[in-house]
Formats: sequence, C-alpha cells, structure tokens
Amino acid sequence: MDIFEFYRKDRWPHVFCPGCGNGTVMNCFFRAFNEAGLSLDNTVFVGGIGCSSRVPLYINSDALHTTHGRAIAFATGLKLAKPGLKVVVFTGDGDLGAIGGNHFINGCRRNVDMTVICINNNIYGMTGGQASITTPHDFLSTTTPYGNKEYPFDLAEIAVAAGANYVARWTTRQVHELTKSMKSALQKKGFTLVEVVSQCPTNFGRRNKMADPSQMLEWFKANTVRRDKARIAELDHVDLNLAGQITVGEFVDRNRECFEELIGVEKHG
Amino acid sequence: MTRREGLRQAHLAIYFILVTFKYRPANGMRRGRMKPVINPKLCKACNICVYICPKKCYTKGTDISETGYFDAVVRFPEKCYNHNREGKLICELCVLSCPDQAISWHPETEEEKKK
Amino acid sequence: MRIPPGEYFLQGNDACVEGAIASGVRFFAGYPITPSTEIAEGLAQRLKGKDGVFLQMEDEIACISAVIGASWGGAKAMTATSGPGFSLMQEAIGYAAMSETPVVLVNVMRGGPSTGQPTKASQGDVMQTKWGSHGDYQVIAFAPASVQEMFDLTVECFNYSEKYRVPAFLLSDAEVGHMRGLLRVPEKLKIIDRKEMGIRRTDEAYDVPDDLVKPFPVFGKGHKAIITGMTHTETGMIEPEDSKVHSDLVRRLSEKVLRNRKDINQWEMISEGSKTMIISYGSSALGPKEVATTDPNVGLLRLKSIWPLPEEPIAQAAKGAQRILVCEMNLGQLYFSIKRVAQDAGCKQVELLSKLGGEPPTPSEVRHKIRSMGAI
Repeated sequence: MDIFEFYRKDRWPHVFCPGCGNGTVMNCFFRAFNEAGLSLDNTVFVGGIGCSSRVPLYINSDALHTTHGRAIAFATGLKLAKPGLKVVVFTGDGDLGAIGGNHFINGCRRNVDMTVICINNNIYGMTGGQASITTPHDFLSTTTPYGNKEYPFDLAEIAVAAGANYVARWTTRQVHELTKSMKSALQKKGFTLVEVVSQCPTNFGRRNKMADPSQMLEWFKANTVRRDKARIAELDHVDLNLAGQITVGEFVDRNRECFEELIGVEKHG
Repeated sequence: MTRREGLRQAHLAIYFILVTFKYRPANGMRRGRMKPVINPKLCKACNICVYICPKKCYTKGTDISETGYFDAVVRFPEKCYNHNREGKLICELCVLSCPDQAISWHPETEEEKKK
Repeated sequence: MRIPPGEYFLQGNDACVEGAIASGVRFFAGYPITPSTEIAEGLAQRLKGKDGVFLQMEDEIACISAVIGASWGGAKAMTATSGPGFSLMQEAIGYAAMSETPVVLVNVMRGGPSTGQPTKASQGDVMQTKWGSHGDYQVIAFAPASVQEMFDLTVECFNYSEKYRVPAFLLSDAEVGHMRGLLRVPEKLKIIDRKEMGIRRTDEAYDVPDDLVKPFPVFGKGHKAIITGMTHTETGMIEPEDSKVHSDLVRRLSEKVLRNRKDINQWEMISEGSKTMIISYGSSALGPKEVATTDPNVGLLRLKSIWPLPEEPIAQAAKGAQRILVCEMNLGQLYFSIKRVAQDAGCKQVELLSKLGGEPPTPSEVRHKIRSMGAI
C-alpha cells in the first residue's frame, strides 16, 4: 500500500516543525503496519496531548484525541468494550511517564492488548520547551534555565519492570530496526511499547547547541549503545537514558497472558 | 532456411518472448533506472536527507521554493544504491527518514537515461 | 441476567446496580470509595464473561477515562464514586461534554469538603456537578429520594445520556445509597440507545439535525471519525484558532440540553397552590414530604431533576405561594438559583433550611422553620 494511503489527504502537509522526528516515526510505523498486514478500518488510534499525540489526527482512520496523560486509560476502556479492534496509542514522554505515569505502569501490569508508540523527544515541545521527565541531567530548557537538576526516567526499563509483553527502544537514526520492532510490537498480543528517541530541534536541540536536525541525529548516533551488541556487564554502568548513553534494542519479549484472555472477553465484540 | 528450421526459430522466438514477459520488472515499473524526487510542496528544508544518505546524493538547496523553504536538491541521483536496481529498492533511508514524506521514487525519463 | 420483574427488598446502591443492568450496561470501571463501593461490588459480580466488563482501575481519573473510552467502543458505560473521586474526575467530565460522549456517573454524595464524613450524607456536590469542570457546558443530573428511584432514575440517566450524547449524573447520597426499601421492577422498561451513524453515508454524517444531536460514529466501521476535546468543526477536525467555530460549538452543546428541558426534567408536586411551599430534592425531601402529606396547608415540590434546573415547576410553585422554604444538606447551593426563579415569579419570601452534619432535616425541624417563617 502506498504510504500516502495512510494519511488524511486534506490535512497534508502536517504542522510539525522542519526536521521533527514525528514524521520519521510515522513513516516507519506505516511501513510496519503494512508489513504486519493490518487494516486501517479495524484500527483505532488514540493520542494524549502534545506534538506526538497529534499523529492520530493525521492518519486515515478512527482517532480518539484524549486528555493529557490518560490515553492508556481511554484505550483500555475502548479495547475492552470492543476487543475485535486493534488499538494503537501514540504518546509522548511527558504524556506517558509524567502525568500519565500511573496509567502507564498499571497498563503494563494489566497487559491489555494494545501497542504504545512513545515518541520521546526529552522535552515538552508543544508548550514551548519545558523540561520533561526524560530531559537529561544538566540540559537546558525553559523551566531549567540553569541546567536540569533532576535525573531522567528510563521509560523502557519501567515498562519491563511493570510487566509489558514487548518493550523496545530505538532512535530515529535507526529507521530499519525501528520498523522491524514496530512490526513485532503490532503482531504481539498484550501491552507492547516501542519508545522512539526522537529529535525536537526547535525546542530541545536549539537550546542545547543542536539546532540543526542533523546535529541531533549525529548526537543520537554517537551516544547509542546497542543492547544486543554490548556486553551485559557494561549495561550495569550505562546511565539512565541519555545521561551519556542511549541504550537501544529489544528489552523484553515475553508472553504473559493478556487481560482479555484473563477475563474471557477476547472473542467478543 | 528449411521449413523445419523456420519453425524452430519461431518456437524459440515465442519461448524467448514468454520468458522475457515472465521475468519482467515487478510492480509494473518500466525496465529502467530509479531516482529519488523531492516534492517541493512538502519539503521543509530540514536537510536530514543530506545528512543521512550514505552515498551523498543530496545537497542543501539555494533556491527558495513556492512554500518559502530552501528545498534540498537531488544532486547525484546516479550515486544512489537503487539507481540501477530496476525497481528493487535496497536502501530507503531517505524515504523513511524524511519527516514530511517529500521523497518518493520515480523511474527515470528517457532523456535522463541517455546521460 | 436482568433482574426478573417483581418486588424486592434491597439497598439503594444495589437498586442502582439493578437499574444499570436493566439498561444494558456493559462496562463499569470503579474505584473503592465509601459510600459507593457497593455499586462497584455489585457490578463486579454481575459483569463477567459475555455480560460485560468490570474493571477496578488505579484511580478515579483512570475510571472515568476508561468509561469514556468504552462508550466510544460502543458499550453503555458507567462509573460510581463520591466527593473526593468526583473532584478528580472533573477534567474528563469536561472532555465527555465536549466530545459528546454518553456516560453515566453515580455520585453518592458524602460530607465534605475534602475527606469530610465518609459515612454520612450531604448534598454538597450539587453545584460541582454542573460547574465542576472548566468552561461552559451542560449536563443532566437526577436526585433520587428512595430505593425505587435509585432504580428508575438510573435507567433514566442511561436513556438521556444516550439520547442527547451528554454525561448524565445520579446525585445520590449516603442516606439513599445505604437505606433499604421496596423495589418494584416493572414488566417493561423503556430503553433508549444512541443514534448510530449510518455506514458509509459520510456526506450526511456530520449534519446537525433539529435536535442538535449529531449521529454517533461507531469505531471500527470505516467512518474515520475524529473525536477530540479540542475545539472542532462539524466534521471533527480540530480548529482551535477559529473563534466562530468555537462559539458555535459551545453554544450548540449548551442549547442541545437547554432546548430539551421539557423532555428531561422530572419532579413531584404535592398540594400544588399552597401558600407555603417547600422545595427540596434527594434525601432532604424525606422530612418535608412527611410534613406536606400530613399538613394540608403546606405543599412540596420535590425535584427529581437537578440539572438542567427545572425553572418551570419552580415558577409554578412560586406563583401561588407566599413563602417558600428550600431544604438542602449544604450551605445553600440550589437555594440561590431557586430564590432567583421564585422571586421573579412573584414570591418574595424564600428562605433556606441548611442542614449539615450528615443527617437529613427531620419533620419537626421543618415544621419549626416554617412556623418561624410565618406559616400556620
């Protein structure tokens, strides 16, 4: 299927900034969606609030644009009311891990069948560049003008600990691996998370000496450590996400029973 | 040429035509070369394609487009990995990375093939 | 699965459960909070397998969010909570109003503010039901005063939320929720379902018909619907910068409910035309009802609908009355609106019996108050 079939033609071109990683994530997602053989008519896209959560509004399918941080809760209700639907959640780092933290960890624990694509740009981009829970230590933002005094979350590791069935993290620099991981996430039953570390040159890069999108992509490449290629001992010394190293790869791939199976509704709707 | 040889030639010709037809390029593309094309309505001049292409086929643009950006330019389409692949794409880094889906593949026109 | 017709002796909260099941509820997400926990427990027993889904969520915000999501999945969905949880749910209630999602929310009011009196009644959330979320919107709210009404008004909540695509509230309280009484389940119940958008008729899909209720796009049927809390046009596309679009949208959402007030509002009138009228609702109306039925000079307007405010019956009661007493278990929430309507209709003396502490006003307190107002 041509990639343009996925988009709402009356809404193109999109409003994301030049060089924004959202467009790259969308391309990879559609390639993966196509390869997985899924149908747009049977899929609902849920988004919270933020640049990343605007992605569902550009897709040629049903879209549910919810309140900030609660996308996973909405998706839980939607999926369980109509288990035949495929539910994909697009969310951001703050939407998922900060205000949506409680729903995130309980969503992983409950293991309802949904795919969450977290576009992690390490900043609150839509509102102008405030620090997020994944902004690296000492980096600048509008609410941390003297450097971020806090340390960031590692969203992928939290999902692993909370019980998600499939967790992977890639950056927008590794488009082929990202596509493959997204395809695995879409095909897997249960709560699956693909975290994409993405560039926000306008609000994150510009304040941290990486105004050009290519500079941010180069920074990703320089700091990426592949999980499958690094020795396990080194991983113990890898700091939390982006405070030196970005660990990418598939974190976990297991087959915990999904919630629909546990309560016996997966054949209904 | 005897009648027998003539028939044999005809058989061989038909066989050749059928085989060529069977092994024609996939997806209805003409047997020819491919080049990337940047859509000027969509390109926002982020220059990720310039950075990411492993063969350096793109360069930064100097002319302003109708949408107000200095669109990137396909400077060396012949360097592209897919150039002589006749429809089978092996590298798609630019297409996948472009945030605005401005890059697409097109068969080369007859003039470009002659260059 | 639905309770068979007959007579039962049940708790108020259990009657609410029966009303929900009779309406066809298929999704419930709840969080334990006194005094509404029995509703969650009752539905946890009844909704299993094919009958529906019960979820205990991690907090009240997740509860209401899941309920809205389930409503978009096509199921009749409900949640139950009390004061502190209700405060948490306000953002999502605004979202349900803006995105026109049919949901039912039972608020078994308890003493507030904050943790207050978890096991005692109050009517302190009445204004919050209408004004709790930011912005202008309208909701539908009912206040039951008996076990039978817990059943009947739950069914009405579902019907009206489906009919008008608006959040509907059942404003119960700890007294009515925990009292035990007679429930008569009728043979036939009137059940209304949402107006579903026809498949592939996308040209007329976003028309706004005369009743201002747009057809409901069911997910998974190719409608490519966009549902959002942001200001949106008729087709669902977001247009936050356009002032006319926003003005039209918010006015339509408000008109949708206010225009249909005659259909929605319900009340009970005893001894209409009396010189002394008592206006009350919920469990505060139990004491006044005793007074009105024993004393021929005193009338009672018991409001079953709280929102949209039933101005017509209040004006009607105020026309012939010399004095009106409003009984509420709060410091005066509906009182000021009732006073405005009554004084506009001609009754000058409108006073408030405000009972705090968790117990409804007793008949003797009511008689004492109306005597001090000059009646008898």
